[in-house]
Amino acid sequence: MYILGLSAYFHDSSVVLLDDDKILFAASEERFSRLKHDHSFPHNAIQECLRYTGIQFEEISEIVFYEKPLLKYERIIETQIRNFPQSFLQFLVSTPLWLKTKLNLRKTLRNEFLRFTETGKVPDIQFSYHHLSHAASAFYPSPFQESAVLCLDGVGEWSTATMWNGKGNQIDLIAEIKYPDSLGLFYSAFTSYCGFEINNGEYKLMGLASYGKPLYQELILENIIKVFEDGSFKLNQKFFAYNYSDYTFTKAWEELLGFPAINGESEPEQKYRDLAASAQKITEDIIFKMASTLKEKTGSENLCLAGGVALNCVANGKLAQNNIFKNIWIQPASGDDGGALGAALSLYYLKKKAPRDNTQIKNMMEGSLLGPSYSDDEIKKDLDKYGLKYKTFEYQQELIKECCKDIMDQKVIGWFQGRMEYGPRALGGRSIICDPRQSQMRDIINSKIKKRELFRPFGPIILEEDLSNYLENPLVSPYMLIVDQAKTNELAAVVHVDSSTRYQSLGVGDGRLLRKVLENLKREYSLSAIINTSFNIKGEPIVCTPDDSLRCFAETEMDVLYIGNFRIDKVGNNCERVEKPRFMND
Amino acid sequence: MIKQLYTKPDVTKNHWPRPFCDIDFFLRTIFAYFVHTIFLILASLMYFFIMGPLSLYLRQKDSAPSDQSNLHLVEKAEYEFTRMF
Repeated sequence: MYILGLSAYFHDSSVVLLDDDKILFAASEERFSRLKHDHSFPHNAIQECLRYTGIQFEEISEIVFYEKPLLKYERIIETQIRNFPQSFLQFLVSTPLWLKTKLNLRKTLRNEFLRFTETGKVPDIQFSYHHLSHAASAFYPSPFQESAVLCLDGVGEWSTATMWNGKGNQIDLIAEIKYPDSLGLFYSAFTSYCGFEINNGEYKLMGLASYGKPLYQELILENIIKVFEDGSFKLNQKFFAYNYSDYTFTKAWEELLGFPAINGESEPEQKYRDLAASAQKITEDIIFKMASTLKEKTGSENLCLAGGVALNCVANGKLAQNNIFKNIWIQPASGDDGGALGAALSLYYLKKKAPRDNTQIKNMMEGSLLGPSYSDDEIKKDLDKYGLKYKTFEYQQELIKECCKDIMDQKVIGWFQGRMEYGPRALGGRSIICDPRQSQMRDIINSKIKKRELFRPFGPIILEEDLSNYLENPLVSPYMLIVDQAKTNELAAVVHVDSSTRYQSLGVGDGRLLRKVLENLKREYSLSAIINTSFNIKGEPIVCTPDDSLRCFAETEMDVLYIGNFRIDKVGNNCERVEKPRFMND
Repeated sequence: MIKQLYTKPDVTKNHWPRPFCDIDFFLRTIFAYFVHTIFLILASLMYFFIMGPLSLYLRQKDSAPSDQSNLHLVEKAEYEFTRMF
């Protein structure tokens, strides 16, 4: 039975195709449309899904959307009523949009799907719940037969934080916190106050927090947020404007803090760094308290995490180390992109009542490499189209050895191999890699390619068996969602100002080509780690197709590109014929 | 210069509509403004006369579960997938 899961119309539209409980394909629309956090209906992703899997649209028996649109509208209209008359402008803007498309979402979606079939038949569209989708995306792919599940995000229908108990194929809601009290929106307000974009800059605030001290923690706890012993909290709505406008915070912040919000992404002064550290500390404390409450309620040794807040890898790392739970598993696509997966899985297990025995399934997420891949013939067509010179390898081992040599020669390498990642992290499918031992490599990547804020750190990929050589409390981290303290300064380019590092570990059984590169690097050069950052330029989604990667390679000062079985060197190549990255044209 | 000013513009090169030369475009624009104005008036009236009293009622109803917690406990949740609500 083929089940298509869908998330759309808020941010990070995505599509997932299941064959029973096997994930055949999962990808976000932004990778194909080249618009970051694209919220539109995922036409391109669905088209690519059908192409890649070779499945006809008519073969799909179930389609499920990741949330309940009418419950969401109920929340919106009730919030507007509660905030009368400040909500007048928001009411005028949002009402026509909802009346036109979202209130009759079943029909809107059906019309969108009609372009994939000539028969005019579309399966009945079904609807999951926003937080159920998050919880299902965390629990069902996890290796646990029973587990506590914690979901934290901005808001779905009404819930902003939920606690669940998962067992077998069942997942039961235990408790929830409802809108307008939201940890995700609390964090977003600080993100915005420090000059970063909401839904895009939260990880920048997390990086900035390492440079500050939580000097404003008490002030915030006394005025902005009240935290209870069980981890629940209440926001003082005097300080928040998201109920009635597009802004998250009110002027009361400036009166309380004594300094204004940053307008635009300028270099934040120390007081903003302290503010970021305060928000981060409060967020961590709330997560720990909620985890303790959940532990009490479920008695489980296992915890699964999902929701946008679960991408806070600093909090995840501390949670993993404080031993409230013995084992932790975090969904790599924790944001709304993962909602598509959770919706499909919840339908399969809860509605179809399919049995679940994950003791046999070691890696249901397949390292989160669930997007499209491209054959060498397809790649060669693009290389020839732009008239690029390249080298091909007769044996894989030759490619591996040459790549290791390039790493040792301090080159910045584009790495395009196998299937594309699902979720916001580059995990060795579409990455930029290089030697992590020299601290100047961070500046070189920044000046040559990424052009991002200097306070943001890069992370390494480390061989799982050698984690203890580099980290204080090594834990398996297959999805780069955990931060730990570095043991030494050996990997200088990936150690943050507070000696922390956000790392990905590659296990012994991992089939990724990058694992073989690391093994060879260890054998020949006694190095078990490399810098891993996403293959894109600032403002661009991670590259998806060979064409995207060639455009990014040509636009930047990247030295070498390993794409499929080909090596392209910038030296001796004329990249003028290669077009600009597509997002620059849009 | 004067001659240039009074020369009739070359419409094949200019893609912008010329409202007072294109009566169809002119009427459609007026109609669109008319419809939007009606919508704005109706929406405003609805907003102020319906939402005002409702907001007072909802604000009275609004409260946290207790003084010690804001956690809403759920005894038994059932899920169904066919409805949009």
